[in-house]
Amino acid sequence: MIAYVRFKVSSKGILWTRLEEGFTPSILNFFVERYPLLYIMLEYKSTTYVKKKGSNLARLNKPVEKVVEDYEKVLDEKPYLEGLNVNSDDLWGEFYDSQYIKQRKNHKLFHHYIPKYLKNIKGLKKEFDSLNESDKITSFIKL
Amino acid sequence: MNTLEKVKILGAASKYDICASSASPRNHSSERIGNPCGPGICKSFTPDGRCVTLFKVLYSNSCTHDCKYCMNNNKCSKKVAMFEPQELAQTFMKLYLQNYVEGLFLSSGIVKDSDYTMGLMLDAVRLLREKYLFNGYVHLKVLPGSSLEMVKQAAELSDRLSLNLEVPSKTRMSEISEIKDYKVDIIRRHNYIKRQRLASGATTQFVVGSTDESDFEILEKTNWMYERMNLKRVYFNAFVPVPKTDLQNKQQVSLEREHRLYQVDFMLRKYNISFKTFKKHVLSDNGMLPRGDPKIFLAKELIKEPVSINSAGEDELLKVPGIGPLSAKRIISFRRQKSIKTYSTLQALGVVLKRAKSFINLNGIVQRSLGDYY
Repeated sequence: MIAYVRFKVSSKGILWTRLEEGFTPSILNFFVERYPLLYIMLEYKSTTYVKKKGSNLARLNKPVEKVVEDYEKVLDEKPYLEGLNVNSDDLWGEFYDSQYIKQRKNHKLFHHYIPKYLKNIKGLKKEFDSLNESDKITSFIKL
Repeated sequence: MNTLEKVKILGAASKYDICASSASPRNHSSERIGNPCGPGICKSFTPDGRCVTLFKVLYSNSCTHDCKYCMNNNKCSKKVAMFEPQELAQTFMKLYLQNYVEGLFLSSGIVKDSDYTMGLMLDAVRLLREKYLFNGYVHLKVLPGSSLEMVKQAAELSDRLSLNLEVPSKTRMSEISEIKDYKVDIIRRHNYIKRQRLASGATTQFVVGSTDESDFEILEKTNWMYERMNLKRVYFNAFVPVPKTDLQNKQQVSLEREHRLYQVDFMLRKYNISFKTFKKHVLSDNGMLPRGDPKIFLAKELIKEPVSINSAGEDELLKVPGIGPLSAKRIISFRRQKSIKTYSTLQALGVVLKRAKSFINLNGIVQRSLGDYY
């Protein structure tokens, strides 16, 4: 489950996301350990959970975007996060597409590895869309 | 050229390199970002079923080498791209913080010379470690011909180092490259790597079938590398013809051959079965592995009487198809409490009954085969 959470990054030291159905907010602790210098914010069923290593868990009944906005007002820019504001998946999209070796296509293996409950998760939309791209007849003909 | 375009070109240029693990026993640090954790975390899967765990990318796809199978060789016409150290470090950190990747796998074509390119790669990793406080997993490729000083620096900054053999011998290397010196550029550098302290050890990779080498040649070299160079893993990559290279018309190697090599490799590493045993009992006269599971071939040769599940030692159990290192340990541990009487108990201990049944004796129950009646 922890492998499929995708964050947005604020250069003021916040990683945040909205969890979809099927995830559980208890994964927060894993990310607090992994990114001890940063605030981790997860919104799940209209509650935003906020935690940083060494501090207590806060539960706020606000959308995560609003909580991020409030925290950004009081936090300073972090030099180690300079230029790392990320809100889009474009970079991942380009990288993911570049890794596929067409001659080794194996959809059965793909489905074998990816848990079924993740099929409707937005974070893996790119992966499932790529499976639906069917080959054109010309790709089987050597010209 | 913008960063997205570079990621597209340099990601695609590295897709034939294999990196499976991102596990490293290094400690966590509360003053830094990220941590190397246990194996088995896959962030995504491509339509070919391979897991995407690391940000696998080349520093540059410009290369002075002439490897005939490689899409980045000096004769191939291609769009050349190259990262700046800062750009690469920043791109990686974005993906890492978003939780798309578990670590960095950095290789490169050789720009000018090996040390110059290694220097640039190390600058990028140094930035990651020092400016971005990155404490996670880094796998660096050592470029053929790199100096000992560069290898030392690489070892200090990364968890794992690797240098691809590509082919099993000097003669085979001369078939695919006129520039690379197998003994000096590769084997000697593996000796340098062997002297370093690495959290996750060193690995190498073969391009299976880029020359007409046999499985025997590959496995003999694999065994030699494990014994002499203390490698952690050897990877096999079935040759795939790449357009515009000298080998573009060569036949693609079947993925089954790659799979068989992995099966033997696993048994060499985990089952205490020697290479000599494979050579004697499994490899055919032409040096190729037969079609089918090598462990079944081995069992047919080595198991004369069904193995008694309740008294056999670990080595004997490991020879049985369907019993792996973990299930063998479970069987021995279970036997200390009480004897194993049913197939369902064996199944619960992780044994694949379909494969094991005809080679085992379970409290006097032995599965008959058609051969017994002739």
